[in-house]
Amino acid sequence: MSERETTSWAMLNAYVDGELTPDAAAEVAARLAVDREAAAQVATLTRLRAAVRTVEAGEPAPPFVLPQTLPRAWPRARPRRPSRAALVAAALLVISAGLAALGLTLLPASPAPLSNAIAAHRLWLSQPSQARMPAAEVALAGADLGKLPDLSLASLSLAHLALDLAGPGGGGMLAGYVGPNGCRVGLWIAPVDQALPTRPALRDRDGLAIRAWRGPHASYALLGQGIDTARLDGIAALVARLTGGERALPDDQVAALAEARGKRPACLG
Amino acid sequence: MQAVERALRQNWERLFSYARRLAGNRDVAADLLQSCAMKALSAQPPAEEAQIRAWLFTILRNAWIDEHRRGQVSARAEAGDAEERPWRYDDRLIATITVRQALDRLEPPHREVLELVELAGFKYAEAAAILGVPVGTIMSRLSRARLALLAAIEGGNLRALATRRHQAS
Repeated sequence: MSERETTSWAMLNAYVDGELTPDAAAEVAARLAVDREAAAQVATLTRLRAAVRTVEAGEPAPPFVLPQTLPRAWPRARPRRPSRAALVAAALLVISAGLAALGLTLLPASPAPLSNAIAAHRLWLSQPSQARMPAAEVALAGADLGKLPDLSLASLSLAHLALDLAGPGGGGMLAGYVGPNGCRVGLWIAPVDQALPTRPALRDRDGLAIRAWRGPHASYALLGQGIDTARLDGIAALVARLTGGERALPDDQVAALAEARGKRPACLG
Repeated sequence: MQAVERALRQNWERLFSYARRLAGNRDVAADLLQSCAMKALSAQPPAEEAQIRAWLFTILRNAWIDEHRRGQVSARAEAGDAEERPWRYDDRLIATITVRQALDRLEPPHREVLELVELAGFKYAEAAAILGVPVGTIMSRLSRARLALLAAIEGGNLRALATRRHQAS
């Protein structure tokens, strides 16, 4: 290295940071012994580095909460008006009370769970889209109450919640999610059906794309009309993980989620 | 997956600090951190646990780019070279309070590289991997960031007490 290179500002920075090879560091050190300006720069860098490292973050981080519980536990610095999530939470409280009174969580799985799911989804599709879900819209009909997953990774937000008591075997609950283009994806949650696989499996029927599986505490079916199947697969994998059925999403599925919502057309439903 | 959760827990404060520097807003930073955790727990982590920390910072940064800076390329941090100027910085101005104020005035790319190397303690190679640039770029960007920091310290309104005394005497 030339003298100029040895005492360049970038080189001195790397020297102070301990990023040079032993030979290069020795060369810089030897040069500092005879170059007062370079030595002054190293002194400044050392002081600057020490001062920067004493700078603490200006404010504490939010509490550590795993994503499964983040939507409800995440604190906000400023007050907000009641959101859709708050309305949903309030509705869920009402539903919980109703379920506890009816003891529906003890009911066996429906013999035709997908029929109930399809009926509930079609009922939702028949309703006009709404920007906000009023609490009064929740139909208290009954089903097992599962934890509703946050699907923001798939650009889906919760917009609809309906319970169906009338279905044979105890019915279930449909959580309706809406994407940025108005695409509707229904998540049907029902008592555990041992006939279903533990991983999302293709159960398309009646013109709906459906992925169904069972978790440790409930069965799930994800329904969409005209939705890109790759996107539905990605969302199903995400839901399975969030509901405890599958902890890891392969990289390619995460990438597919992002790609699908960015490039592929919205679904028809 | 336990390794990812453990790394998230251990680096939660530092990840938030990095998100805060990127976003400049607590709420956005909190959302960014949530998104980072969600994606990290959904993805396949590096085989070596030692690499998970840098991987988390990469995820957070990519989430920021995806959600807030798509299409923007920060070339400003690479412009300019102050090496020809004579050394003129006054070490007595360097103090925690002046540095904190100066950090807030830096261009985002400068703040970012300082956050990664100085505050998060990453090596140049690790920071390069997180930012997706060659190690040489980190070297030059960091040296420019420090020059910008020194300039911001000198240009700030606040002076360290010792310097005021010195100037008053």
